[in-house]
Amino acid sequence: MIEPTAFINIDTFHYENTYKRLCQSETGKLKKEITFPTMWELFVWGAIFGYLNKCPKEIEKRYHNPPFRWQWVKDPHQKLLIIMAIETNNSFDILKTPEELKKNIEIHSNGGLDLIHKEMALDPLAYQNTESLIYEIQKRFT
Amino acid sequence: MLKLDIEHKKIDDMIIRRIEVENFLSYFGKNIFEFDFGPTLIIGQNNTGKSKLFDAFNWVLFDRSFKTEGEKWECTKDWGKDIVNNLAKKECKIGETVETSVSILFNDEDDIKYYLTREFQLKKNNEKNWEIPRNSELTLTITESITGNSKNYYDKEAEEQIKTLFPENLSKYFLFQGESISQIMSLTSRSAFTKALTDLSRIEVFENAKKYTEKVAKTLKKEFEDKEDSDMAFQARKRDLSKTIQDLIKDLSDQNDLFDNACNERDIAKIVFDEKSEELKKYEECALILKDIEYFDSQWKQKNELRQSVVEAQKKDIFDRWMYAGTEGILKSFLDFYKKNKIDKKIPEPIRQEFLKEMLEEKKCKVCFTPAPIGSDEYKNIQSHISDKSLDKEIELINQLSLVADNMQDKVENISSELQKYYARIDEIDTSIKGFMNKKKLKEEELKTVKPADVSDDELKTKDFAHLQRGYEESKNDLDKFKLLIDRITGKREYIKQQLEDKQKEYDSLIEDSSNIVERDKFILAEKINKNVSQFHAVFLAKLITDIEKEANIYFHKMTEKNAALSGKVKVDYENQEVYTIDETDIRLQNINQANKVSLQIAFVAAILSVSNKFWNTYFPFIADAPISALGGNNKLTAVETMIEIFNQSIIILKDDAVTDDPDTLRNDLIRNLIQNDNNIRNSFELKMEGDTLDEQHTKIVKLK
Repeated sequence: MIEPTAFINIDTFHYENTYKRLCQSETGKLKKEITFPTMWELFVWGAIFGYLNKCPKEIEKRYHNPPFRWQWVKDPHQKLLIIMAIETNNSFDILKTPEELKKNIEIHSNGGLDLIHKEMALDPLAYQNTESLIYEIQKRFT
Repeated sequence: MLKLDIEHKKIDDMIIRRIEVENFLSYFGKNIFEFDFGPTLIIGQNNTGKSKLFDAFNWVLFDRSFKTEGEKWECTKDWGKDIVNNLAKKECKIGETVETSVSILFNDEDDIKYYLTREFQLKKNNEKNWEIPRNSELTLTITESITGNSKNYYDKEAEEQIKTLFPENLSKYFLFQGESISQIMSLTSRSAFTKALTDLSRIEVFENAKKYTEKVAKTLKKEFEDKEDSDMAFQARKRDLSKTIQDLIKDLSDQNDLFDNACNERDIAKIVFDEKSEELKKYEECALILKDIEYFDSQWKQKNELRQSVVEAQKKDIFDRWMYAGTEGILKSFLDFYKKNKIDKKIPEPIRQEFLKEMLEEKKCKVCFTPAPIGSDEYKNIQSHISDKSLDKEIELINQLSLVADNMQDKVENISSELQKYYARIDEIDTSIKGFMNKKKLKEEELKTVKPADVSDDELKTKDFAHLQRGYEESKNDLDKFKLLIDRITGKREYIKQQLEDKQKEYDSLIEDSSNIVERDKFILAEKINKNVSQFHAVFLAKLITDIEKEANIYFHKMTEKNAALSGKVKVDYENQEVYTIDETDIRLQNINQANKVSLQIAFVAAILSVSNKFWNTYFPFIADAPISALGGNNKLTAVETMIEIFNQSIIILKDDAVTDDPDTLRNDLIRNLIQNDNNIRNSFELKMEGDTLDEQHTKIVKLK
């Protein structure tokens, strides 16, 4: 099992360009106006996107000071991420190697965040508020 | 080119058959309105192009169009590029020219067809620079009905021709602008009253004859009086009486002057009073509109806040479930995999683990009670697996995962319908937001037309209403003061008139004995002619006034019969040059309400126009813009019904009523029913505004009938 206190690795590029942009209060945005209230929620969003699009991506440059630990990811999200990892590997064996499991989730989140970042480059309004987030979800049905 | 396709039948009146409006003010592209004998009703809400259509008639006939901002009529030269439709200007390419034109087709009583066109061109040098290659051009084509021969007239020549058909000094009566009725015709203003009568009845012919015979009689009287009579006593008596009469005439003339002055002062006071009451009314109207704007703004803000809260309320759903939208396949695949492993017994049931544990502890099989093979390799193996807590945890986790996947699968399947519900709610709020925004914009536009030109919105909000009220009261007191003065002078005039009449009788009887028979008879004859002309003038005038009064009463009664407010009978008082209403005992009604006052004005103008038509056999079409805008609810419908009955051809442009709170009442249902049910109304149009931005908005015509 993944150690609850284990740090989650994220790419420096995404820390600087995606996490900071979508999870932090810039230009006096109120807390409630921030798209992703916490970084782990963006991590989960990225992972789901990565698993859905089957686009894992190795972390090129690990951010030196990971901002959250595995235990911060609340249930049932921890379990749902593990479910997706098992489904992707088509084996429960990954549970026996927690490091492998964590890495699998991390690279899928990294791949998903890459897609999100590309989308934001094309549409500056994407992911900028709750409404745009709902629109992104709606897009999955069309 | 317009086809001259009028039916070949005897037409008794001047009839406008068609107007074509191209790229003129709110009209984009070519727009055609067809008309016929009888009434045409055109309806639309504020800023849909109603008054612009009225302007089109004025522009093509008289090169003028009403500027709302400046509240005055301006010619093409003053309008410049603003006369051209904004969308047409936007779509015009650089280096190209945009054409604006208005054409009307009409025929006169001899079925001669007239096709009049006014054109204006604008060249686009660049986005900000426009050039006017030449000023507006007028072309008139006259086509004979029998021969079909046509002749063209241009500019000045065309204008001259049009003047004989549509005299400009009468235009305000047949091109009737309801919203400025008080400026067009203040019925308590003597000059306006006289002008209305003389313009339309041509009574000045008789007035000139009267002046001439008066002059002749005066000259001959002087000759008679200047010649000494043989009887000295008679001569002295004649002189005394003549002097007394002259003095009385002078007194009367002085009183008449005083009366005129007082009337003029009263008229000025009336203008001030009208201005003050108009100003007060306007500000009151503005205050109401501002209140509406504030209300719509607050509703708009509330709905925006509601929208935001509905969106934000979804945040929990987003991070609880919605972000897993689309993962059904993954979850299903996991659950299938889990089930397969279960079937393959790769995932032991926790119960089996417990069972084996108990057997190991009891050291015998729980089924056959055979002792455990303690020390054997198999026993050790089983023991090691059972004690492997990690396996325990792993199996527990896998089972938990299957439960979570199962649970989330159900939730994920509902996300689509949850999203649909969310968007339906958002759409509903958005419609509401748009509705309030549109209503606010409409009111803001209405405010622009209502508020005084030189007052900013901020000034309007801080306007001192008490001060306006005081100004209104003061002007009313001034007006009452002059009314009292006029009453006093009237009494004095009556007294002098009586004295003059007595002395005149005495004089007439005296001069019968004069020895200067020739001079006396010449003078008496001239006096008789003068008297006859005056009587003829009086009879004509009386007939005219009676006819006008009679017609005005019919119209006024029709317009006000459904109104609960006291209306009375129309009185045309030529002596004092006033039109007012009286009760059954001929006493003047002092406080008729605003709706009835406007009805009275419309009835009077319509009566003059109608009587004039009959007297002089000139049947003008009646084109009216918002003639009932100042009328109260009950008067509106009957006013329209009356107008369409009076005129052989009427083109009546009406505003749809807007009631703020209920969007369904943004329609003038009474008028719409009239259009639907009155068979006399052969043509009817509704005007709407299309386009989202100011430079794209243009009038759209919907033919109702």
